[in-house]
Amino acid sequence: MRVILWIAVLSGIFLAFGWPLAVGTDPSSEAFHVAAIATLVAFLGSIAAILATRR
Amino acid sequence: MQGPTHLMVSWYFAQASEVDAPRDRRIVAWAGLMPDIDVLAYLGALVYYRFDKELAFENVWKEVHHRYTHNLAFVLATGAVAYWIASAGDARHRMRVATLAMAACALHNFLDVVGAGPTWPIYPLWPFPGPGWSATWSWTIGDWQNIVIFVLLTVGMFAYAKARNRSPIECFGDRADRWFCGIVRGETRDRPSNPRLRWIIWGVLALGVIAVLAPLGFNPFR
Repeated sequence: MRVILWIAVLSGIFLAFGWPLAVGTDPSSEAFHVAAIATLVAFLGSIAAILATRR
Repeated sequence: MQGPTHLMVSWYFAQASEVDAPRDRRIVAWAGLMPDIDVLAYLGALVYYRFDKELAFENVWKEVHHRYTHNLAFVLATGAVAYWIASAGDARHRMRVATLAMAACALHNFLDVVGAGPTWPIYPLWPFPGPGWSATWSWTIGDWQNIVIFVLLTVGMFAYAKARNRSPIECFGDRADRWFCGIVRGETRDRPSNPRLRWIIWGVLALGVIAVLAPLGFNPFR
């Protein structure tokens, strides 16, 4: 689960800073839309899962 | 996204990353809110324009918000401050806190791209020239997605306080967190509570509610 958290964190940072430079500046891109929502869900979900299981 | 959402997400992130010292969790949590420090410019503009919200919005907030503090340079500056004020420890410990603070600060920008609306681009490379970055499908601050996330985080705050005796209220100090967790867990107090602290906490909670409702157009005096 911690791995998923860090993948989501790095993906989020890439989507905010790297994507406009490395992939494309078209904000209406469906690929960006899917990647961003998936990253958000993975980030929040992994945090919830870690906190629920952590003693 | 709303300020309280950023603060709670960053605190949960610090907690999930096993940051042990409360001071360091606070540093990471506030680092996740820091990009919104540009709200001070809006408050200054409100005073300058004698509380004319439209003038302050058009001349300052519209130009300033997301431009100067939602970028890579600000993330690095936040990391430097976090390294400097991290709790006592060796350089490796401070670097870990600084890295988490930078991650929380950078995630703020990602969350704003997703959940601040298409009319508020961030400028990733400022002060260097570059295009503003925003998504046309981004939901605005009052959309249901933001409300759902905020409500889930708030419900989670109560649940976590009940289960683990710790909560995002820790951002406002250890005593505030003890007070909050004590109430949630139904613990009896050995000594009378500090009335001044109680007013501070209720004041902070009221400000949090206003911070969430104000952007949604809620005005009880209208």
